[in-house]
Amino acid sequence: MKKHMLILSIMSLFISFESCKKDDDDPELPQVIENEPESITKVRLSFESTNPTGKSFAAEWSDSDGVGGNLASIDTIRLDNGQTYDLDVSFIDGSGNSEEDLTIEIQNESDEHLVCFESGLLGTALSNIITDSDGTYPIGIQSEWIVNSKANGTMIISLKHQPDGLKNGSCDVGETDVEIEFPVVIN
Amino acid sequence: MKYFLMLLLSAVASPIFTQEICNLTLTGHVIDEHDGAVLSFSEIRLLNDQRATVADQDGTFKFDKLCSGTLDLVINHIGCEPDTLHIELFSDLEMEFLLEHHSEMLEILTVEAKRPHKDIAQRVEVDKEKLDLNRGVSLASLLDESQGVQSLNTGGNISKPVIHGMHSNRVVIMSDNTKLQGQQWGSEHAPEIDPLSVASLEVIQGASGLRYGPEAIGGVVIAKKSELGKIRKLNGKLKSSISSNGRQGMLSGELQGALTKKLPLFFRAQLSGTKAGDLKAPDYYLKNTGKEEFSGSGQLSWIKEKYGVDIQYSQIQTQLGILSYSHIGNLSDLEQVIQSGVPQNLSDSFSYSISAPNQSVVHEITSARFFWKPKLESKVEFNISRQYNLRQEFDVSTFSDPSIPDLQYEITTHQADLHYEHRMSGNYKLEFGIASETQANTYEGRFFIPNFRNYQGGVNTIHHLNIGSWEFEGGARYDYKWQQAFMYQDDNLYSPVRTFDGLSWNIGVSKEIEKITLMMSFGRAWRAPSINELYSSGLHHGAAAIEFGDESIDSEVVHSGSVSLSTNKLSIFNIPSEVNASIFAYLFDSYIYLRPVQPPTLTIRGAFPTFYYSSVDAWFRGVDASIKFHPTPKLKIFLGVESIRANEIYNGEFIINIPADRADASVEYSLWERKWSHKISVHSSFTRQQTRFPKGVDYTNPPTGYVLLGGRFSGVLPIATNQLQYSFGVENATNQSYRSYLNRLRYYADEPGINFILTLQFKF
Repeated sequence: MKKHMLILSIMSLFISFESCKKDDDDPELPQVIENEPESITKVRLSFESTNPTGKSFAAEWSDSDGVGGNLASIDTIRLDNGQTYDLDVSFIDGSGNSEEDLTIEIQNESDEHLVCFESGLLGTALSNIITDSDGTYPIGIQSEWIVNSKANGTMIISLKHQPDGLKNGSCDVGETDVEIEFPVVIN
Repeated sequence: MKYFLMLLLSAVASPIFTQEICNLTLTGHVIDEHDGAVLSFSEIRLLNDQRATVADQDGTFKFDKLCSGTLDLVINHIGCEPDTLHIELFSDLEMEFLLEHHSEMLEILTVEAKRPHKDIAQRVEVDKEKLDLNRGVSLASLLDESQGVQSLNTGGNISKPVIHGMHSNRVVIMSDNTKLQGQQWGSEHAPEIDPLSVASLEVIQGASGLRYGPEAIGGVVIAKKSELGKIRKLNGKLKSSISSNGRQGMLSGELQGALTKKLPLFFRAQLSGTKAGDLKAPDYYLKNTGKEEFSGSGQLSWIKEKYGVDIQYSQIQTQLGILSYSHIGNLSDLEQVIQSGVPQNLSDSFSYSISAPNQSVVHEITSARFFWKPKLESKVEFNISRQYNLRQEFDVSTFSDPSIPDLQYEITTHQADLHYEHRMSGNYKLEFGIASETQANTYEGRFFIPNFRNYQGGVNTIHHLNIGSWEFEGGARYDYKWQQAFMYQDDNLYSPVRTFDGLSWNIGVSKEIEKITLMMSFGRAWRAPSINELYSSGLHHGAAAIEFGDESIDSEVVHSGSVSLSTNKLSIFNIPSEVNASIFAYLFDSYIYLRPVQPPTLTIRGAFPTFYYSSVDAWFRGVDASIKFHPTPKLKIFLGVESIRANEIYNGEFIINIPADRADASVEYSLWERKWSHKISVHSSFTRQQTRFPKGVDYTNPPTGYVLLGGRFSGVLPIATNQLQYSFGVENATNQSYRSYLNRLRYYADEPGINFILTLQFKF
């Protein structure tokens, strides 16, 4: 009898072990939003002509639903020959209900970030010069674009994260946070 | 110590089951396996009734007035670690205990009872010495040198066993009596078992494996803690190990024994911890490959002759860094790394710190096992368990809070199974089992796999029969699985239900001719597609790839066959040797695999390599063979080869990610005296370049072949009445730079270089 009592008590110990564990979350209601990390889903290029009569405009690369789902929407950059433009690049989290501008965070960590530009097929038709600096190296959020001749091509814009003293002015180091390609048409 | 136990005269004895008889006699002769010399004065203890005797000068001992049933014997040879073996006694028995006298104290006790029953299933057991003196790396690397088993590594810290080219969803891993269920689908998800707590490890293929589930296409890996209830005295062990590569330190302690003087109540408590920093390849540090692991377990057993209860709780917590170089933002960076063959942003300094990308995994198992032996010839076993697995993955990201995981899964699994075993007569045994399981998974954060719930159940039966030198084994099981997934599609809840069912069976036959045993087996197995194969969608950041499931994928069905041969104490050129060889083939109806596709997916972070799950009819075949020579009792030479081929059936295209051909060789020399023993060994392995792969599909060609060298000096020293086991070894002794085809991170960096390992284990 004593033995049976012991077996019973061992079993009840086991059962109480079981019951004090936390319950599962309900699988029937996926909790996707709560911990969704901030991420860049949209890059906006704001061009302002240095010529008062020239046009100012914005071009966007946007994929607000992230990987998979709907395809990204990509604007074409249309520039006029002979013009010079000041460019402001904005990195935006558009995944929530309202847009959140993450460019400020990049500015705050400007010694860890670099925006890089790589033109395809444009050759000398377009030249760009980064005009901002973290004190030592360029940042690239602000730049000047000088249009020299008519051409069609592409522009790859990337945001490099170069923490822990990696930043040396080169685009070859660090992680790639953003890498997108815009079609460019110069009339 | 290695014993080869043979029942020589048991053929004369016909088993009697009618009632418990207590007038049986066991006579034993202890003999050196190699030269047949008599080993005098071994101490033999009978645990059933605490009797003990010492063999005489002729190595002979005798126990009388024994009851029929299982006898638990401990043989204590001079300077050796006492070890237990079990003998089924049904009549008077006389047998020889063939001791491998020279191979000292640490190796596993291999009991080859020729009768009444021997599984036809192919079993591979891992050397106990290897388990004792492992440096706590991983379960898979312990199995790595076993015949037919390799390991799949992801970075330096994650590894899984690969059996005949199959892994993850195709290999069942048992932790004691519980089928391990975590997020096991990812090849970069390591099995959640503390290798330091494992006392025995074996791989089972064939009908006997059917007991553990239908999906064990490659095989079943059974990791067990040491058995409680054998030794009442408080005993335990303390193990510590340090390795130069990764500057790893590891400490583990275990205590077990009877709780009270009289009650059959036993306990075990075990704790271990590991800390390691960045591993080093020959030319650079593998940045962010540190690891921290803590594990603990407790066990209580009430063990009587006829029934017993055993409850266990274990928890393992692991923090792993994922090689920084593998976290490549996009395809152009990837191409750059592949072309240069050298990682970007090389680190030249060592660090213990673990930063993003990293993983944190907690796994706990609570289980209870009940057994009841109503009669000598039958046994009922009931297992119930709960597993909880929390996996958190942290991506490198500029903007997210580093304390919040980008991806988190919680999966809870409940299992219950009932198993009944009955020996109908001396040469026929049947087993019957039912098993059930339910799982619930939830995720938070970025979508990769959906929430899901599943229920599954199965019945199985296995039969063993032996007639003369023939052994037959057959088994079958039927399983049914119901699964519902929950996910949002365009903000609407989508919750598809899938059901799967299927029959698995296996038959085997073995025949003993002289010293050669021939075995043959055929079978059918199936598995339901796993949740990621059906629904995954998005960035699999551990693999820096975008992966998509395919909802239309159906169950994977495989027919397999194997023929194998094993010899014992055969003389080749007058040298005592053992040969093991097998050939095998698998015919898959819908082999599910991850297929790279073009073009890469365009995301705001650039273009990512993209993979789709798809299924194809395929066939696998291969061979593994090994030979062990014992030219002198002190010298042991081992040679082994493994080779697998896999193709699609219709167009003959090679299957991707199949292990390359491999050959192993080792030489071991032993020295021993009454109280101590030392052993020196050198091992080498050659892995060929995999030349059989689908061309133009993968991002790079398989890495070139390589030869690895290692060596070890190990032994046992007595300290008072206890033992100290030591081992000092070196791996990758030539500091060779190489990459392994099975490592998913082979695109990015070399494997670790030279490593010195010192391990000490104190048993008390």
